[in-house]
Amino acid sequence: MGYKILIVDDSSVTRAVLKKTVQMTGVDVEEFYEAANGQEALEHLAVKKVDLILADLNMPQMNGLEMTDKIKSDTKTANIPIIVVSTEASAARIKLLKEKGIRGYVHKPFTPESIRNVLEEVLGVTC
Amino acid sequence: MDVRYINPFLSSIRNVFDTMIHVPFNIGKPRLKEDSTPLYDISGIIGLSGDVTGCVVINLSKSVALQIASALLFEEMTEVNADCTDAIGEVANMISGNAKKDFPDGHVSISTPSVVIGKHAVVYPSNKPIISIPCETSAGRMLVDVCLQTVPVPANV
Repeated sequence: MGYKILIVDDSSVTRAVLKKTVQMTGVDVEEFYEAANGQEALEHLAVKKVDLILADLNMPQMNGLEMTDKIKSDTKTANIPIIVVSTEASAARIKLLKEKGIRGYVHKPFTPESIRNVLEEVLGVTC
Repeated sequence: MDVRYINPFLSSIRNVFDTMIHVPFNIGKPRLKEDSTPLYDISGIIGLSGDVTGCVVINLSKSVALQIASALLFEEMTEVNADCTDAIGEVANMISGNAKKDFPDGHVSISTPSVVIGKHAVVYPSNKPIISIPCETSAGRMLVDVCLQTVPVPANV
């Protein structure tokens, strides 16, 4: 059984590029789900089982930090690993993300190698 | 405008093109933009707030927009549709977001991008210089126009 991955980004192009990039890494994906902001992501999580979340931070309606707080405070979703894919790259921001329970961080623009590396680290697999 | 706020855009443009667009490009010398009227029909606009305020505008023609969007999406695009518009907004977001991480000290937030197509105007902060960075590809020129001001730190009383 492959992974069910939720991609959260307000850019449909970034969601599409991330999907293609994850597929290029060879990670076994059963299904991709997409959400355009944190609120949509929470709605997905209420009805779908998800194994991994790839999320942007800077999104309208509900940003990635607020989404992370809500996911981590809900016992039903708290254990889903979240990887942030964002242009926000200051050391202080990454430290804050880790304190909030983010498992991985990829700086945008990203390469297939950076996505592969973080997937291997977070999922504990070799692509 | 302090060069420490312009140089990050030069490296950011290179980084975005080298990492995700993979289209041959040349960055020209930044220059003062005398007329704020956009030269081309498509603009991707990002607002900045915090210790630095202002905006970053990527202004480009349809042909350059299609070239960049096609490269980003790994598929040939022939019309400026929603995906192309979204791609231009994302390029503006990546260029601005990467540049701000190399700004001198200070907290800066960037807005989500907005994209305008057709004859349009861009409202820049008044009485502030607009620095225009030209970026040439085989399809034409993209301009990255930067208009920023630092917010003065209040003096201790």
